[in-house]
Amino acid sequence: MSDLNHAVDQLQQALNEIDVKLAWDDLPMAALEEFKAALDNVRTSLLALIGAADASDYQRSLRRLRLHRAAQVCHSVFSSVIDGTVGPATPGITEFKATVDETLKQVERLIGRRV
Amino acid sequence: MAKARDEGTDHDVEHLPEHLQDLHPVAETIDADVRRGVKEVTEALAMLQARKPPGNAMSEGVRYLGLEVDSLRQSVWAVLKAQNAGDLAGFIGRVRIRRANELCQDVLADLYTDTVPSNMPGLRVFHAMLQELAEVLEVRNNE
Repeated sequence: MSDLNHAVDQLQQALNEIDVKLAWDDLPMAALEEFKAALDNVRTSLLALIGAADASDYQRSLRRLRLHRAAQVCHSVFSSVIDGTVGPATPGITEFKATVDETLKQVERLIGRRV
Repeated sequence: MAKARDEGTDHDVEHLPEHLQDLHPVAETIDADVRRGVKEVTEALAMLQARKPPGNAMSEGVRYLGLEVDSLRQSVWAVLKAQNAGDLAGFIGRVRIRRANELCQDVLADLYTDTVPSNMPGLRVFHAMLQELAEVLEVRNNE
């Protein structure tokens, strides 16, 4: 099975799982919102892949998508930190903080601000 | 609530008196959005299989799609966990951190290779978000 077929197969399985879960009673709102955000991301990625005129066009689209997604998910983490569901004891937070600091440093280098 | 979902949320809302439609649970709207999202992704998958993307884009595209699928599966897992425990918010928080770390690492790789132009749309927003996040993480870390 090719990589593409494998990815498509996995995606179809995930979609089937969602269809089953949607029939459950009392699905929490937060779970529905996560579904929706994840689905939106998959759809945008698929359309970028389908709509690319050539490889370099796709690479440009992908970089913009990544940046947009990173900002979105950083905003989600920010909200979780503010409401207290994520804190210093949350697994992965130390590594993530280091990544944020380094990414911030590199972005500031790029846009010419003093770090 | 599940019964309303099975029978079609939009239809149910339309038959409520106008002054009550705003009171219809927000979850029903999101539920309809999710169903529409599933349909649209299914259609996009069919398009992808019918129209092969340009050769070099394929491997990177499939890798990135794999990350998105992984994220989708994690959100399915979040629902499974939510059925048994009251820690949905904590679980989602952990999933978000992992996802945010992966995405920032990807952006970082682009930054290291100088493939991000300084005028890229969204860069300023991302920068502002990183500043806020770095600040709040630092504060929480020192509390």
